[in-house]
Amino acid sequence: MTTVTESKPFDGDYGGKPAWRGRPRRRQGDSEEERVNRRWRSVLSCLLLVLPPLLAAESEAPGQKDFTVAPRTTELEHVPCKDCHQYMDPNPEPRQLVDSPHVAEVRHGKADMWCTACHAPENHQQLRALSGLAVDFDDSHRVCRDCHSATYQDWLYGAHGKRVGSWQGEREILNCTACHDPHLNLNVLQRRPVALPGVRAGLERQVHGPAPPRRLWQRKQQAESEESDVTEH
Amino acid sequence: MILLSFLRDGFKAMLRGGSLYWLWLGVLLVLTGIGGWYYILQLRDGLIITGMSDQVSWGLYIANFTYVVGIAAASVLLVIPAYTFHRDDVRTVVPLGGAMAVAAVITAILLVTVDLARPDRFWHIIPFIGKFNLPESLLAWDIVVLSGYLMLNLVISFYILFQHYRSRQPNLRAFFPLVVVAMFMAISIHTVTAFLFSGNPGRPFWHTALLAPRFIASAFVSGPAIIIVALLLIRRFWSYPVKQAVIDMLAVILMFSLYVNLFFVAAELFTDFYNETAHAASIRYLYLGLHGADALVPWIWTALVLNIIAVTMLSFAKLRQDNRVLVTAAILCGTGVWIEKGLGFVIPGFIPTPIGEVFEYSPTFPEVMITIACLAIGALVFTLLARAAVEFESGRLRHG
Amino acid sequence: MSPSTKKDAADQAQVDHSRRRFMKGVGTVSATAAGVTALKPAWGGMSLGDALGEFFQDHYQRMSPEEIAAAVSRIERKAKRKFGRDIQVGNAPPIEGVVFGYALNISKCKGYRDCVSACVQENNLGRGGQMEYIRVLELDKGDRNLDHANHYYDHMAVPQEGKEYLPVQCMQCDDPPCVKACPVDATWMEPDGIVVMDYDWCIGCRYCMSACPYSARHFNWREPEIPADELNSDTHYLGNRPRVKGVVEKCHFCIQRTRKGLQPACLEACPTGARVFGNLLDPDSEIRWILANKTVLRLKEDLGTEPKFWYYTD
Repeated sequence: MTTVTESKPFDGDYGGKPAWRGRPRRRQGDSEEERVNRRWRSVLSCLLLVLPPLLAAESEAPGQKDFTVAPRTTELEHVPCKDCHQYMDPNPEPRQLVDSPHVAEVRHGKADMWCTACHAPENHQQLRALSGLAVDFDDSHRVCRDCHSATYQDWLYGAHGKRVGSWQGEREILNCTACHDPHLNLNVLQRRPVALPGVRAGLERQVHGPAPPRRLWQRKQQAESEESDVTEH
Repeated sequence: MILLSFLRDGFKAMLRGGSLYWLWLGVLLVLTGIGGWYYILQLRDGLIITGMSDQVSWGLYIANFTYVVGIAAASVLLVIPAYTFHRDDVRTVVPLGGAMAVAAVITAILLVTVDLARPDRFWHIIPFIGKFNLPESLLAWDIVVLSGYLMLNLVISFYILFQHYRSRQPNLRAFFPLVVVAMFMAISIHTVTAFLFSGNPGRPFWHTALLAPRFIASAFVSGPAIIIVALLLIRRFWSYPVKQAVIDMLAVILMFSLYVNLFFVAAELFTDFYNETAHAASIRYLYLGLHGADALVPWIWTALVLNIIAVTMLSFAKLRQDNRVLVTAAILCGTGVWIEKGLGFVIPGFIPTPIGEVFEYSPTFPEVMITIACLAIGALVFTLLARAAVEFESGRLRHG
Repeated sequence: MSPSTKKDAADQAQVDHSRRRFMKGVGTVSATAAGVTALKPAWGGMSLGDALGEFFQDHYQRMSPEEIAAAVSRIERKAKRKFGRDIQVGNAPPIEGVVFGYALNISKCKGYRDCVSACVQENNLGRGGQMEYIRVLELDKGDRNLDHANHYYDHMAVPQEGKEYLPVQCMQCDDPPCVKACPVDATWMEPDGIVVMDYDWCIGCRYCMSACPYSARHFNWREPEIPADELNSDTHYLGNRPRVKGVVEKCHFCIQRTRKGLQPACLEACPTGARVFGNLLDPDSEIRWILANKTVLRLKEDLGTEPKFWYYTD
């Protein structure tokens, strides 16, 4: 369920193309033609994902009430990007960062992306959308929607994400980044559940375990293992 | 005045008896006392002293309630032949049937009362002062028909005895309408009790149209079984002339009802098991066990075996007419039905729960003792009423 | 019983019919008597006035505002005695034009059971028993037969591979079988769609528990125990006020919160945002959008209970 894609060292020049197109990794034995084909395929598939929200972009959905998201720009003062980046040129080359105070690699998008896909290289206080438009950190969902259009739609209308405060009046909802760390894979957190359901005092012995396996293949497996048990003894 | 002396003589009669009679009353009183003590504990600590849970929220109390309501309904089996088929021999035992019905209804009300967690709020069910959810709630209907049936039986039995006490014949024309109403009510109390369960689509084990007919059929097993035993005991110990023809009639009713009851059980088993749906989980739990839980399996198979043995014994006229065999068969099928429509019916309705949890139930000792106390009070009421009735009916007690 | 209260009661009675006369007389008398005898401990720690007032307390829907106020202060005194804490028993009425509904995204539920414990805290559920309004079921993916559910899953980590999680709580049915079952009308549906209980009217017959197809009703088999410092003092008459032994209780969509505009505690506690709450009568609400645009299902729709609790998937 939880898959972690290992990031691989960058294996080719970036060629000044927009970072969001990603970079098909060159494989040994690939012909130039195959590489070009693959690149075009990824461009096309990305466009297919991106086009609908782009077209619908600024006209907010009909029937949709206004909403506010919990602000995040206030947190920027704790993250003085400029302190370092004013001395560094943007390097569009995906790589493992050494001694970095922030994440050392970008695992988002199957590790095919790099910082500048979402962060505006010219202004560290802002993000940027696919269109190149600068986006405030409070509006980070406008960046996310460029690729995750279906999820964005659910979020916009309340089927995804979380509303906070009141159920009535103006919607106050959490931004995508309140739950998802965009630098990482979307891993589901596995943790220990809160305590077992209680049982009326004195009746603990009355609890009976879950049903035995009943899926077709599980039953077959169990029958086989029982059979082999019998033959072994 | 004459009514007062009737009541006084009746009470006196209740207190007349040999040492065996007093021993019997003493045993019942002791059982009542023990159960009463545990009931006080239950009032103090709450229903936590029982084996019930959120998963199985009704237990031994309601299981026995369904059984004794059946006994109450079955007394109609004496009223019908006596007054619609004009069997004079049966008429002599009608007051005894009335006593049985009164005792059974009182026991039923007691069993529901001990099951109520807040009997202190009894006034909430009094119409107009409290709030009565009619016509929606089947439980409200049950309270109505049970108390109505209790009243009817008291009135009819008292009227007959009172007339005999005054050396008069009961005016059949005057109370025949009451008899007719009582006949329908007898069926209705058990039907309403069945609807109480079958009206719950969330409990597929109970949710069957066959339930009311099944309840009537099993009531016509357990009722005659107990009445036969009681009548034979009364004939023997109180030398009251119960005609053998009455016993034979009841034995035939018992046999036919037992056949019908077994047929209904078979019909349920076929329907649930031939193509087993998710709704058959409870019946599977009952007969075969579910997910390793099988507390009721030995009970229900015992019930089935007892009923089959009993019906076999009753099927042969020669055997049936032998009172020793008849009593044995009556005890067997009385017990069989007690398991089948008590524990074997109420409890599996809760297992698995509607959201699929298998959580078993077994009654606790206090719960068993409280139940026994309710049944003992029922037996006590029947003994005393029957004692008075026998004295009146045998002509030993007359006014003046 | 002072002569003047008797007179008040009598005056009141003339305008009412017999049943109300009886109730109101006792209610007024006991409310006044409570002030007089409040200091005398008797009747199980209660004053005689409170004991009588509690015994004769009328059905919630039948009480006048003054009678409710008397009942509320009695309940607050009782809580003070039991927990040594001041609680507020609210009585907020339903909001006009609102019927509450709930939607739960099963793709997002990961079985952490955070909702369960938040509910216990918020709603003053008796601890150390089985009193929990929410039960999270663990099912094999591809199998929605509840009879196959694991209720007592206890893994070191959830979600488990190949499993999905299905929280079940009161569905606030629009045609609730439990309401039909109750012989004394101790439970009913409010205009905002919440099925509530009058804990002081329930006689403890548990017929509603038999009638409920979702195992959503729970019973106080003994006196509920709550650590005094964990008591939530912000309560509602029909909601999370402290209960007593021998009565049934159930999820009430956190009536003490939702009627004030807040969201239910289970929703606030959910770390994955799987839960959506809102007004079914508002066409612009999130829940209405989900019903119109997502694939939704309700538990046991075939029973005709019309649950106002939907499940949906991503």
